[in-house]
Amino acid sequence: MTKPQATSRVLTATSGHEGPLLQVDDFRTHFETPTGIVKAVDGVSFTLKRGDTLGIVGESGSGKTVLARSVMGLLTGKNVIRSGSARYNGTELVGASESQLRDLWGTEMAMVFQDPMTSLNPVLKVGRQITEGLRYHLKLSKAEARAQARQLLDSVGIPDPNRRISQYPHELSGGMRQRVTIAIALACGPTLLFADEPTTALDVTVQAQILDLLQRQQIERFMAMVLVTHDLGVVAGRTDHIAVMYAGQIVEYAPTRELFANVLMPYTDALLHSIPKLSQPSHTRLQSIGGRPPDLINPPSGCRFAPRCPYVQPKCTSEMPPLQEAETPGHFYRCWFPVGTDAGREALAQNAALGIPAAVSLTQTLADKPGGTA
Amino acid sequence: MAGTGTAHLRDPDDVLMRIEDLTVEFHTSAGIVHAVSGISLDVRQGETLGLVGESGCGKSTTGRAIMQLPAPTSGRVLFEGIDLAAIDGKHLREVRTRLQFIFQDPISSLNPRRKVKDIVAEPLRIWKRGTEQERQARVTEVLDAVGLDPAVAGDKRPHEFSGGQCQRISIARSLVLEPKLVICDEPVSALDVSVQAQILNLLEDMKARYKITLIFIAHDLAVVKNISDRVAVMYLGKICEVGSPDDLYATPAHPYTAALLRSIPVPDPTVVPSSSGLLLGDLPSPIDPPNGCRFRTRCPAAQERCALEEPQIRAVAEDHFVACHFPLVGTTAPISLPMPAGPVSVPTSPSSRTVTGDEMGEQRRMTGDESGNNAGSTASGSVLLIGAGVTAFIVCSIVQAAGGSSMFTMSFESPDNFLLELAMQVTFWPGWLATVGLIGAGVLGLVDRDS
Amino acid sequence: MGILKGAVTRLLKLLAVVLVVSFLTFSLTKLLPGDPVVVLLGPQYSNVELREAVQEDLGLNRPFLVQYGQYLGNAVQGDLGRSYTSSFKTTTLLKQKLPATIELMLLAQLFSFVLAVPLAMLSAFRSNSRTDKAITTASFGLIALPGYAFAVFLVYFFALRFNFFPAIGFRPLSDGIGPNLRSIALPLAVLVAGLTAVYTRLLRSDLISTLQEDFILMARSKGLPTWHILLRHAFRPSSFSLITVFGIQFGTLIGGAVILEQFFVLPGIGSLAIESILKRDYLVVQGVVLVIAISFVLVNFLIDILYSILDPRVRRTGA
Repeated sequence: MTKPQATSRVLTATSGHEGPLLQVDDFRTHFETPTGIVKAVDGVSFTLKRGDTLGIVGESGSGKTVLARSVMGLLTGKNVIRSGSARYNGTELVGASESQLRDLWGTEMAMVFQDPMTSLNPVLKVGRQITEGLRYHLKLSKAEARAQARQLLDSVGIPDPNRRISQYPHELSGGMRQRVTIAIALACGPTLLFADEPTTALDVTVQAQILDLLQRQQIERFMAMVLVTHDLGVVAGRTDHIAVMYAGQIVEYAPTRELFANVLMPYTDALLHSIPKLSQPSHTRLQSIGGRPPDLINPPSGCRFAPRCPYVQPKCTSEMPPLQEAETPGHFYRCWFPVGTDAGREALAQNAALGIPAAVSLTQTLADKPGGTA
Repeated sequence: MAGTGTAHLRDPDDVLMRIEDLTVEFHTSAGIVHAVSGISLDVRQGETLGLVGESGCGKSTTGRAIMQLPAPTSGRVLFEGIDLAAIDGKHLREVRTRLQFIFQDPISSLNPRRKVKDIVAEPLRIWKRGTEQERQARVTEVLDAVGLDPAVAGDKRPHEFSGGQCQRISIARSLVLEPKLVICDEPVSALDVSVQAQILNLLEDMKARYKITLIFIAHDLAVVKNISDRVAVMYLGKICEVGSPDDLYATPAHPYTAALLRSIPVPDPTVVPSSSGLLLGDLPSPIDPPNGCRFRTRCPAAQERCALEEPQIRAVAEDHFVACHFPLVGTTAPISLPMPAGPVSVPTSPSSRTVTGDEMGEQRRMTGDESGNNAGSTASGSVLLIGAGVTAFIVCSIVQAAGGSSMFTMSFESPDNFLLELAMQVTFWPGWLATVGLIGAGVLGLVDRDS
Repeated sequence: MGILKGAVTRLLKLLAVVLVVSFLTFSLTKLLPGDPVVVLLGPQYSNVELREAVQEDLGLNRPFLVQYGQYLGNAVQGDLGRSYTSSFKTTTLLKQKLPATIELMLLAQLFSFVLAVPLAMLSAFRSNSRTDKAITTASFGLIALPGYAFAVFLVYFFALRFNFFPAIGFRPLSDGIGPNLRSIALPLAVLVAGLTAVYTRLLRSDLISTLQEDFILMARSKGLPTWHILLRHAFRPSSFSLITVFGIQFGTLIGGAVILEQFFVLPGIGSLAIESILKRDYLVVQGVVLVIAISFVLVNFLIDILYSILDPRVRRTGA
């Protein structure tokens, strides 16, 4: 490969294809295991424009991390079955060969991982880990790459980049390390950045710094970003859209403000109520979600949240609700008896009358709090 | 000037547990890690004390030091009026039945090969409480109390449960001996939010049902606020602020508490996260903490005085205490040190040494290792061993040289001196084995020490 | 600076280890039953005067510590004493026997390392593939097969059946590289086969666990080619146990190839040790042990240094 080719690839990314940068359609990722096929991601669709941020929220086992890694094509084991479609800039990623994908990795799409302690190679200097991508993809000389690396470290807010460049990861603090992995991800100028729980392993004061950094870089570079997290607080102020995942599916998808203002899916509602909030007085009883997420080898045939849902009705256990659009355009949900609608209120009242504990306690919470979600 | 004051402590007769001037230090190859530096705290019967701070602030070390795991470097831990640091091992084990600990990782803190009912019953068996039947009844009761079906769960093993259920088992195990005080070290940070709510609710229920007192250690301010009656904020081995949660969270007095609260992402999209007022830089190294106020290197309100004089804890409101010269609530602290006249040069730049992952790791390792404090004495031990070996060698040589013949030809040619011969025979093998063993052990100790 | 300081303190410690080893062998050979004077004098042993004269001559009647001090003093000057049985200097005997041992050891280590690294990488990268299974089976077979059995097999085919290589004997390098290499080809093959199998197994399992690490995923997400990831990212963090065993093997090979040396009639250190033990030629035994100990300690010192070069995290000693 020669230099002109490398630049031409960057050009195709910025121009050419019209429409969304990332278009994911009925995307599935299943794993073959000795006990059966684990449907980790099961029919996920979304689109993402350049410059936008999508937050993917879910608990462990919801498939959010698998989704990010699998869309990018990083899961390659023989037991991985990918199906459906994921198009980056018009290029189909499902079924693409590893070498085709490798041309996109780093230069077009990049990923920031959860734990900077383990995602940096402990035996290579920080500078080397940044420059190797630059030298391979952009064919920079050693000196050029080093100069570029220094600039990158500076732009991600690492003081004294000249010294840091020749240090090893273990000589840096956790926050610094995550800044380095962000610098690595940004090195070759990707247009799509996946950030997989980028702040979960960090302290809360450092978390704020890193989220700010990601947001600033995303705006400056006009990137699209997928922010994967379990923390609704992390995505609330920093995303354009949110997709809530449960048991391998998107159960609610909406513009961020709309989602928080009009929650429709009982799962999202329960998630919001289970977080202790600073605004609540001490000893506020939390609304917990009983039970545990379903087995992904044999998921329930109806709604996957039905076994834990306070709104559950016979229809929920027999028929899987489709992801349908609400009255507000762009707000999708997967529920027969959505929160805040007449159908939902009726279902909840029925369950409370029957004495189903989850419904009773939810009704109490709603009654205690005037102007709650209902 | 290790102490940051005791103004926040209450009447000693009124509290279940009182920590006075607790200091924990670890010796590492890089120097002494000042993990906890002279903190004082107390808990009333039935109260929940929340201990909150970021990693490296010493909150977990404090929890372990209360349990004497390892024993603190100095300071007193008074539990029901008894100083735990001063009593012997047997007595301490007995006290520990009334003092339980719940760990962060519920799965690895349970023995994977044992059945749940045996795990929960184990403390009862060890302390020979009741008959087998009474024990079973007690196990059934606590399993039921923590929301597990004793008939189903009792015969399963930990790996068959989710993280949240394992934490329930841990709680059941800690409650089975009817403890007075339970120390929970990050009990919900490994759990999903929905499960976290279950466990927090459960802890509240258990507190009400069994009349226990809790020390709740966590990094999540919202979680700590939810469960605590009193909150202590820690930073780099010191206490910053103590108070009732509603007061402390509404009007934080310490700049660090305020910064912490501002950093928490709020699940509300109408609140635009602002980057102003966020903390910059990294935690200074606990090996070489800043003088004066330990927070001053990152504090937006730091002044000269903060480097010269360590702030003492004082009240700024009813049941609200802060260790800060220039608190956000209340008045500037009265000057207790003579301020030098004229300009003083005070290093205001953040300490250039920041804590690295390795140091943190080291600290953690030391925490788990009771013998950690003895690292320095290994060398002298080795020297002693070698010395003993050389002595053994000299004794053997003298005895055998006195025998008059070549030392190592084991002949009986001069039977005229039977006693000497006997001495030779007796010292021969044991003497040499001792020589070789002692010197070998000593050398191994020396070589092993930092390899 | 840090590395240098660490190296110096480590070297001093190793010197202490050599001293202790020399002292222990010195005293242990004295502890062994049997008296060299008996060996020297034979039937004349009953002559007390003669016996005492010999003892006086060899310095055996002096106190133990004095004997050891003299031995050590001479050893530092390169004199390890004279063989009781053959009137040769111990150093001369060692000089005769060392070249074959060292050549065999170095070549065996070199070949097996060069063979094992790519085999292990192939095996680990395509773990559970047919290639991996073939390599694994072959390694297990070679580990299970005793060296001498393999040697019999090789001699039968390559020396007796086809006469490619000589079955026994050693020709020094001064006879020319060709004859020299031909003469050690078969024992070398036996050693290389065993070592390669061990190294491949070791590196394969470490590589497989390294390839699961997040930083490998990170490197892949940078779009780096596979060979780059294997060589630059995975190999170094996976090589630590390989390097450790590699170092230990040096020590084992110097003194441990006794059976092979006997089988192929090679003039090596191992056979020298056996011969002198049987003849109660203690000075030679001491000399052999001292040489093995020093080279072992030296190689492991180099391995330690290599460690700190390979893994920056251990460089912090004394920082």
